[in-house]
Amino acid sequence: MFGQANVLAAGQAAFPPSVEDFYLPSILPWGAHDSYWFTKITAMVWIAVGVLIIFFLATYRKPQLVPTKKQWLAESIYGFVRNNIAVEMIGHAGVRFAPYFTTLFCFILLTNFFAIVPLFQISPNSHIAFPAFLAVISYVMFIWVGIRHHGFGKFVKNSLIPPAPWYILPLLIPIEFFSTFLVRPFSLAVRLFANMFAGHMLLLVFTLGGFAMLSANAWLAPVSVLSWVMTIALTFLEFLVICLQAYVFTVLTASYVQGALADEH
Amino acid sequence: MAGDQTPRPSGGPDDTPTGAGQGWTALSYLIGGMLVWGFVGWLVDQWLDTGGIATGIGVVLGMAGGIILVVRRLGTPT
Amino acid sequence: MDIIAAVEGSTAAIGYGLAAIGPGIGVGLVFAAYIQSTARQPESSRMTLPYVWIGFAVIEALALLGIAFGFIWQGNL
Repeated sequence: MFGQANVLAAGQAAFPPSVEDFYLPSILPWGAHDSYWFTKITAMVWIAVGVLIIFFLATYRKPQLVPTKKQWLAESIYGFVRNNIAVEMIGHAGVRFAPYFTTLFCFILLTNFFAIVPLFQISPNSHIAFPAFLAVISYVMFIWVGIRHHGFGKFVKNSLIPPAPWYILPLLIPIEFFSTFLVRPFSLAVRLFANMFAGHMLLLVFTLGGFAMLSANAWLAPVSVLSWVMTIALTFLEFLVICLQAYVFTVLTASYVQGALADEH
Repeated sequence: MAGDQTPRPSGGPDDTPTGAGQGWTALSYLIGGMLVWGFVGWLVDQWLDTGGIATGIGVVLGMAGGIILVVRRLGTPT
Repeated sequence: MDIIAAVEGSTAAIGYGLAAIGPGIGVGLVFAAYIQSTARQPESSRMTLPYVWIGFAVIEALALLGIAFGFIWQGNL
């Protein structure tokens, strides 16, 4: 992160930002270029995990009947996910998934939120690996839950064979397979990844564009102020996207679990 | 009489998914059907060298399948 | 015969633009009718929503077929 700041200060940042800007230099072998074992991204994920664990442990260590402020915050997050996502989507059976959904929601929200926190300013979710792994967890979970609830044969039958006459089933089963087992994890991962990637790229374009115009010539220099104002405005938009994507990811996971638990269509 | 409808208990087991969710389901069935059978048709095209005819047939078939799926899954009044 | 005007690039794009007009109007009508009926009578939404999806699927299919055919027969046929 200091490297970036230095580059900006020296006025030699490459203006059209590229994918290279997402690969931050390594931290543990300080400044090494080909080592990706411990980068700022890794550090941010660990920080997010640590912050969440400490926050929930600290707020719920001594639960009181009349909640303190921190306890109220933690309880309202959990209550929001449990009532507005888990129970709303799945029904009463959804309460037992609420802890996982809360963890998922908080983790995505926090890691997304790093995109607009000063000095962090990039979200780990703008690397496809993290959304992909979260999507894999959701994918395995809804299949596992479905198999546990229905048994393997009935789950496959439920999710692959639509209520239709037998002679059009060969037409329909591949479509069902495609949209249930192939598109779902892919769209989950790509939706989150693309939003965070595009958001970071957008902020980079306007920030670096300001510097590029400042150093271009005297006529364009005042416009760079406009560019930075846009950066600030887009940061607020980013905040909206961050909350929305965390919510959407959790809601979609819940709806897949609901689909796996549903009895007959 | 909008006022005197009984409020639906949220999260009953017979809840239909929300409207937006249904919309995405419908759209993904249509696109999914088109892609799957279009791909099969494209494979047939490569095999028999029919120059796009089989892909077109596949896309139309897949679209028909997608419509049937949407009608069956979402279009049956409860 | 002299060529008076010529179009360069993919004519399939123009074709899809024309083909999208109809489904656009159609999908708009479907949802306009649904919103209006739900606004007039909120408890009817559970009854009408299935038919909304049937209509939406049939209409949207045309738009999707248009985009697919634009890609498949781009330039030939």
